[in-house]
Amino acid sequence: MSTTPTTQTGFDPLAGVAAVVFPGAGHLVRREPRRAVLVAVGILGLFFGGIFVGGIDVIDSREDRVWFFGQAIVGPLAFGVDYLHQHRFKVVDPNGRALRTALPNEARNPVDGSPLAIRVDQNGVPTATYVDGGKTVTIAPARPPNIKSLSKVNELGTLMATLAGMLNLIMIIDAMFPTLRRENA
Amino acid sequence: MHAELLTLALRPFIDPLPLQRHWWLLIVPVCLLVSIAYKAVRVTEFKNYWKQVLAMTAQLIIAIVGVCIAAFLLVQFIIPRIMPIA
Repeated sequence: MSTTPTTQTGFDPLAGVAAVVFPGAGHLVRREPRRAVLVAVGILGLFFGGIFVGGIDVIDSREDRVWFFGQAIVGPLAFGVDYLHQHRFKVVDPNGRALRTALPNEARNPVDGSPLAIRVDQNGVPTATYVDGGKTVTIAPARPPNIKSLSKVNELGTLMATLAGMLNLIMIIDAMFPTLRRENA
Repeated sequence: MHAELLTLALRPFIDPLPLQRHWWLLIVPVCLLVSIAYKAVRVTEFKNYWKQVLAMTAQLIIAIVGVCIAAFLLVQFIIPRIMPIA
């Protein structure tokens, strides 16, 4: 198979940094907008596709640390989603103050992140109550902040998001060293 | 879990999709998205880009299905012949 080196040469650290910051941005810096859009579609499609399939639970730097190493290569976006998951969806366990996913019968207290027991009222509506500044607030309908994905759905969602990271590594290298590109390889 | 909670709507990107029976269909979008990103940096010009993307997607799917068939044959037929269960 014949290979054709591109006419671009050299090392482009700025494009490499841009590619790390956001998928496709490296190629945009190199003034290759079409390539940048396709890279972004592929990487972000896999990353958000994984979250769509497995829920936000698939991005978890605490419970799935090894997988997160791969997902982190997507860039600050992965860290942002993980931060959101840890601090807006997980509850603070009263025993030990560790963060954990809410149980199916727990809601999240928006004030301090503690778990709230869900009870069903006389109308059949699941409710949870918490105190905010001396005032009792009732959440109705109450539900867990997110549902933990299990089995194949969790595995595939995690895999998709991790694939996005691993693939972005190729994109970062390509943006940084464009002379490595070959046709029909 | 309370039965009432089961009737609440799915929240996309927060809750997992109910794909317990059809999870294997995800092979198509995964292979397609991998091909879109990979071919974006492998081609020097975009003349036959989508053709190459579709070809790579098909190659990936055929390869994965082939590995599945090989693993099935190994576990179901070859290993029981080598090490029969008493």
